[in-house]
Amino acid sequence: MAPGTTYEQNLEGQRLLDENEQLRTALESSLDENMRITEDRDRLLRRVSMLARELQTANSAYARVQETVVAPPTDTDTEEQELRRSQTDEELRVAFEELQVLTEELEVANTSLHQVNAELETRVAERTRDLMDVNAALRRSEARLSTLIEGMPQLLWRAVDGGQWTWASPQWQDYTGQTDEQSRDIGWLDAFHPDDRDAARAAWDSAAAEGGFDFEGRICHAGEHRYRHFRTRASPVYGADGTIVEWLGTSTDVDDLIRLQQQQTVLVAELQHRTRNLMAVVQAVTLRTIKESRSLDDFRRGISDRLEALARVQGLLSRRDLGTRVSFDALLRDELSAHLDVDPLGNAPQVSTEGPIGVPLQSALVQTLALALHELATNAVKYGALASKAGHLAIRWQVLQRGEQSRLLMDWRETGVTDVPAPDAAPRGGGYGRELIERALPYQLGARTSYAFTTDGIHCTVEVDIPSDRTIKETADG
Amino acid sequence: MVDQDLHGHRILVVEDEYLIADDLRTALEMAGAEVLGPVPSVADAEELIASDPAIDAALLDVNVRGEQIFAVADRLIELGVPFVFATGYDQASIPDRYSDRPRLEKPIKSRQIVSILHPLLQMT
Repeated sequence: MAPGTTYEQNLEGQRLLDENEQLRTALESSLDENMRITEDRDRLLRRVSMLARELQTANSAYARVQETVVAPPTDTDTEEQELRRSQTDEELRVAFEELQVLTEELEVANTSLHQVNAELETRVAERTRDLMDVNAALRRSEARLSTLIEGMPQLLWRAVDGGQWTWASPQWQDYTGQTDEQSRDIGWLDAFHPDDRDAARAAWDSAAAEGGFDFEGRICHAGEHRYRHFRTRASPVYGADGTIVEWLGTSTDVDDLIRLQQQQTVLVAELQHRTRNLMAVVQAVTLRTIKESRSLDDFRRGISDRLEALARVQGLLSRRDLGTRVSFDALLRDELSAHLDVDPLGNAPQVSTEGPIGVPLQSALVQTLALALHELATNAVKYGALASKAGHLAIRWQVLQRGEQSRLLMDWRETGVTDVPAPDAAPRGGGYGRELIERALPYQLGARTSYAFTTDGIHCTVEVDIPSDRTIKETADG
Repeated sequence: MVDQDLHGHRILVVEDEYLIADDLRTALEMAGAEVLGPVPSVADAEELIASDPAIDAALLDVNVRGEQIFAVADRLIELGVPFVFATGYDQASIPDRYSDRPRLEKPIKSRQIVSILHPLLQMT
């Protein structure tokens, strides 16, 4: 019987078989009865023919006596012979009557036997039709079941106690490359990752006691030659006496799910790391601002500007979709627009920008570069090119190819600044921007930088690695 | 305050965030220590250890430039140099084999650095 044939279908089939058996028994007893009547008739026929022979013998003896005896027979002889003949005659007549009765009886019996036979044939034909219908229904049901079994994405199998497989679905065979025969008994274990096999056996050891089998392990994909994670579960099938007859099992591919979970764990850890790092940076920036400030007012302005710059860059980092990067032009535009009105291209009356859009930045660079640009822009507004109408700020950038590595080269040039400090003068604004550019960027990112006062303003360059197309996937930043 | 607690000791600092590294250096120098580095990567740390093995203790950021610091930690264990992990991660991200190693959670206070390094240096 195919797996999954319903209990009701089994019952119906059994009932039809029982009825056929009953019909067969009835037919056999009718045949027995017929046989018995036939034997009776034959017996009677034998007796009739015997009597007939006797009568003929008697008749011919009588004729011979009349022919051979010319003399008229004596009355005594004739009377004796006459008596014997009439006795035999009588006996024969009785036997003929009996035969007549039996023959009639036999005819009646035969007629009823014919009827019974005809009836039986009709009923057998009906039952055969019923059986065919039930069988057809079973076959349809089996076809539906096997469509279901072969169509579902899970790998199915059957096993008996201790995990000895008795059957594996075509999906299992397709996925693992094992034949049904190879997977039998504990052959299926070979498809599992060697490191997971002991755990699989252990899960079977406790399956009967727990009333279920539940195990997560890697199964080798024959086509791709790699292991994928599967959740493998089985439920026991109980017999009428409450013992486990067999186990029906499924193996479900959960590889994508597990990969996503792992990705999520990495992202959460990354977020933790960034948050704590950001707090450490805030702490450092605060300490630095305290050192530079001459008054509480000074501190309030300085810390507020710098925290806003940090907040802006966090906004840029969090707005980007997973896997896309913050571009240099977006970062620059964001920072400039915090200080002055710029058009969508990043230009303002005293500011010109020029360079390719969409140049991607490593996210480790974004925060420090944003702080550096913030310090440069703040100083330009306070003391440099943007402090008077005569000044001009030009920012240009390009991408250079250094062997395999792409690098961003940024050039920040202020002109028309009359109030340039002497080369050995203490830096205005505490020199934080200069420190970020000259020390922080090279330290963190291996950038090559320069920072100089020319005769009419500051000239600063930053050259730093940018991710190439091949390194789309970002790693955790320190 | 015990400003001179680390006097005469050479402390390696591995930290890739410049601003944090600079703060750590300042705090250690104020406590009288000589700072080796700071260095921003596993490769730089390994190079420094190879060229100057006279290290009394180390302060290690767990994750530098996307790399985990554990190769450096294992090298220091071989050399018998005590170290402290500085971490932005939860404890679970540090392997069990380092469970007996002290760790500092970011952001780090300078007072904490001295109080955690001082007993390590007394043992060597």
